[in-house]
Amino acid sequence: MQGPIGDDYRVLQIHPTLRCNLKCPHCYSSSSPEEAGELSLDLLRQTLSDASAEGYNAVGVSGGEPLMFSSLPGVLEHARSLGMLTTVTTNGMLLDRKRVRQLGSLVNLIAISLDGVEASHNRMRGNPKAFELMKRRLDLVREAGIKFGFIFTLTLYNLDELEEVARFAVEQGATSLQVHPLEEVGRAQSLLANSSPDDLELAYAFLECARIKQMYEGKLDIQFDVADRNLVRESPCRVYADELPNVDELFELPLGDLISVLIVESDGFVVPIQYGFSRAYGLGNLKEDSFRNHAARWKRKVYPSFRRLCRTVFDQMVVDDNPNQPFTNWYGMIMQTSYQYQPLVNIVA
Amino acid sequence: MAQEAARGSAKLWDRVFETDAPTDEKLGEAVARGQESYKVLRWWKYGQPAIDRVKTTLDVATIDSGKVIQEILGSALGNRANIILEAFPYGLPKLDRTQVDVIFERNVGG
Repeated sequence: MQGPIGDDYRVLQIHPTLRCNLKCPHCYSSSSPEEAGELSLDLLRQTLSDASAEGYNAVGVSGGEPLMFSSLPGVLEHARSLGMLTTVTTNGMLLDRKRVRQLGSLVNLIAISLDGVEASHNRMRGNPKAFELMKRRLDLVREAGIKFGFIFTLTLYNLDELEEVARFAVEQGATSLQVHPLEEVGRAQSLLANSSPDDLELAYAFLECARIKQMYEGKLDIQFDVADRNLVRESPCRVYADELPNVDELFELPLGDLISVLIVESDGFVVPIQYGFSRAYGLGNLKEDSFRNHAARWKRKVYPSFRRLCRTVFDQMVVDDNPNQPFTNWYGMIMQTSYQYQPLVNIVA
Repeated sequence: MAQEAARGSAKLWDRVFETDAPTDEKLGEAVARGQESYKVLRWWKYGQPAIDRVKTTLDVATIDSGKVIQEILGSALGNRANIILEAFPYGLPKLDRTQVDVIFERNVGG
């Protein structure tokens, strides 16, 4: 077991564009209709081939709105030809018949953002018709037999809407519901400051997820994206905080054995863990060198520092321990900490 | 957002339990009870749904289907997940192809 998502799946998440039909206040990538530009298909195909050779077996395409990315089918097609699993994360509003038909044979799962009951969702999406349009598109997704799930952004204020969201998800035939704490990065940093759930709220959210899981047992998978401190303490490898393996051996391992998730940001820069992670810990820009070469350098020069960063976060998690509130947003913690500690580069010759 | 000043948990507690919120200790007890049946074993980044029930359809020559199924069952992923296999022989006038639906299934919720 290595890292928070285990080691069955080594995920490369691609944000090929920041172009979006919406301008949500909680968007961590500050995407909007005003954004232009996208990564080229050639660059992404080469990156996928290299990533596959490094052991990555799943690719998630996000954004921006990935349905506005002109090369989406080409990227998914290439990923599938490499035997990778594919997911697409979308607001669902642009899932028309043509796009659904294109995606049908190319995706394993579509993840659709759903931020609460209709009024809340529309407010978060900045569009009074966002919910209705998304809902209307679900018929096509179901008809095409594509598996889909919803993603709910948990704030300090909306836990009371989760039950309704789950009910809607089950009614619509979704297979999963991802409950993810708001990350105060991107646009959310200014527009939703101090709105992310604290550990107290996460404890209540756990209870609610457990209650909903029981209500819909066998019908809906609840994915609650928080770290359980007790579990982490027992197995630090879940947050990359176990003892660093022999550094000489590291260079021989495929990158996928060392880190998952990796993120390709919209300008071609690759960072570990999360969009917006400090680039001091990044692999580099794919427009300047190949994924393969960046990976080789990163293992040698940055990975030991990245592991020290993970250990620092681990120590902080243990020190902060309140036994009655065992859950914490590890992604938020490590992201914030990545800006506080600069890596020691070149510590390995 | 002024209209949302109350915590979601406070609104939820009012609605579902109609009692005062529990003390920190009582909350801890409730969490521990919840963990008996529901453990958070993995946590994923935003926008990346867990890929825990994945269906793949293979189309193989019927003569090879047994070998293919054995390989799937012996795969590394197969050791960590439930695998549901459904095979549909087809082909006219003689059955010469088999559609093998492979579902890798794992319950992340514990």
